[in-house]
Amino acid sequence: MMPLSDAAKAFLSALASPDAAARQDALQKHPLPASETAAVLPGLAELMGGADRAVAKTAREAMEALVHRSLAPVSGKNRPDPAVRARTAAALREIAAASARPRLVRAHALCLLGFAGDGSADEKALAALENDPELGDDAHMARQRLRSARY
Amino acid sequence: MDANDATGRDAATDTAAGALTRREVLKAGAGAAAAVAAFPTIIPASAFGANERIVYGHIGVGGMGSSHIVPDACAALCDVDQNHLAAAARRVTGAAPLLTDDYRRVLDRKDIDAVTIGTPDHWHALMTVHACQAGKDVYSEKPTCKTLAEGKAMIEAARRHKRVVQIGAQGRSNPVAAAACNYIRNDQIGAVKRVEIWHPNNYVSGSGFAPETAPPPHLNWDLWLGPLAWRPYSPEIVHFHFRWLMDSGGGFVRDRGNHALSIVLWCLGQDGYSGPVRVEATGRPNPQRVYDVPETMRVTWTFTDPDWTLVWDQPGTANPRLPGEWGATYTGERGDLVVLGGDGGCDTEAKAKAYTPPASGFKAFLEPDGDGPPPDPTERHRRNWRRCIKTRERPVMDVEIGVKVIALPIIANAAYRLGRPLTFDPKTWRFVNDPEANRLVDEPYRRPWSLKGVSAA
Repeated sequence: MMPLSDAAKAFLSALASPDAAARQDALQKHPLPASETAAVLPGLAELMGGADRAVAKTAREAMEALVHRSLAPVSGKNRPDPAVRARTAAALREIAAASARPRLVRAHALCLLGFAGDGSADEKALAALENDPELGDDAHMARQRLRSARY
Repeated sequence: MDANDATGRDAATDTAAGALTRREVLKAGAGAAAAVAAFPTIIPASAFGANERIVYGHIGVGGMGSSHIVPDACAALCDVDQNHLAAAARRVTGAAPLLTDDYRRVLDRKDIDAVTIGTPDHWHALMTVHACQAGKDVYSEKPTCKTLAEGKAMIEAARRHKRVVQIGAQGRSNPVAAAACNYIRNDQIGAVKRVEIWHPNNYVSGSGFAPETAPPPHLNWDLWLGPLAWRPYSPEIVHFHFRWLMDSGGGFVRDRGNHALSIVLWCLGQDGYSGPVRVEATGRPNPQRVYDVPETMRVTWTFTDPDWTLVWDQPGTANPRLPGEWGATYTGERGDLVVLGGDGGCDTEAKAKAYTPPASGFKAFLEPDGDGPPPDPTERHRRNWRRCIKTRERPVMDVEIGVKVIALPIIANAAYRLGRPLTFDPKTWRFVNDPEANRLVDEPYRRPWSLKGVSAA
């Protein structure tokens, strides 16, 4: 588990708030740098798997927003920062592989891995789940997306 | 901006057989031009005689899909909701049709010449491609498709199998929209530099999550989902509200946007836009509902060659000169024009309605009235399709135009999802310098669905 910065802790705390406006503000303001995406993803997955569906929904949106942000082309280059991308993908692989997590959380991580993944570790993780009775289709779809464009 | 390009004055008429002008085709880039050259405007004639009856299959017969049923010439009805199917069957006046929840059974029927598709959006491309492969002509509801790759596949299938494919954006068969088009394309407001569309918010307000339950017995949920990633059934999604999920609907910008943007491209003569398009999109989702499209949304498309700007403002502000629920203000170098709506309903200012194009000027094509009173725009649009089935001409909202229109909301939603501006190159169908965005060119399908063919599904 990667250590969380104070900003990351505050971000997760705001997203766990029962106040929808506070959650939305935290999400819209994106206080975290892309390099912290991987560290905060497990906490977001935890919130997404919780009983409060409104909190879960914001956590799901936050996962999506942060992952996409971490994959934005770096200024002057036509691809994301390779180290940031690799850490994001590794965090998503871990969430997807955690069988104790709810199916929808794991499926969401797989979907996002379709965007973040690029290397053989990502391909292998997806291939390993393609025959999973619950997540096989999600893994298959993520693999299709991963192969549709390379970084 | 080249005024002639923007107003389309190089095209004397906008014919049903070739809504893209020659210049637009030439400017559309190597890929599109090659496609047009390879597939002539007039598709080789089929076996239809002028008085021969067309036999239809109707796929998706709830909502708008129910309006397309031809009661005395319908051999099959298909819907994943048995209630829709039963209601549609009661309207059939001819021989008892096949009733099924699986569109592949409709496509199997050799006696069916043409199909209408009125399903949720995520089925439009798959069904159109498979229908073309099965030799059927197609009328598919808007929005044309949900991804760029789907659009490309639809065009290729229509051309390869020589099918007449009309997209249900019936604004192109609306006489009032045609009047606005004539006014603008005959240079009455000068070269258009900016078009601003206002539109109500997505219907995602309020709060609360309905419990996820087993699907009702009358609904085949697995077939409703089809190519989409599996998710639990929710009454919040089926039927009308599928529009508020990115996966199945894409929000009003892709739904009504198909109508609104179709009229904009028509009025500007820009169906063949080919220069890079920069798109920026922002919005706020509602955190208290299941839906993931934003409640409000602002999109700016910046076109090049020629240079002009298009804005989708949700909610935006109606033009006080001609207020209405949704519409657009066209700002030209010498004036402006307001156009409301753009589907079956449309209005514009008196100056455009009273305008008569000069004999040598541009005149938008409208399917003739025929016998009896003038048909409403949707029926006129269907008549155009039916006539084209017999003549093998391309219809007014040919699939290629439908794809160029829907590409705009598709790239807008991509920019919204990724949270950054994108540049789309219509010549390559790819985003420029953004590999992650190019992973949105196509959306993977759940197994076994595939655009490759029915047999693969």
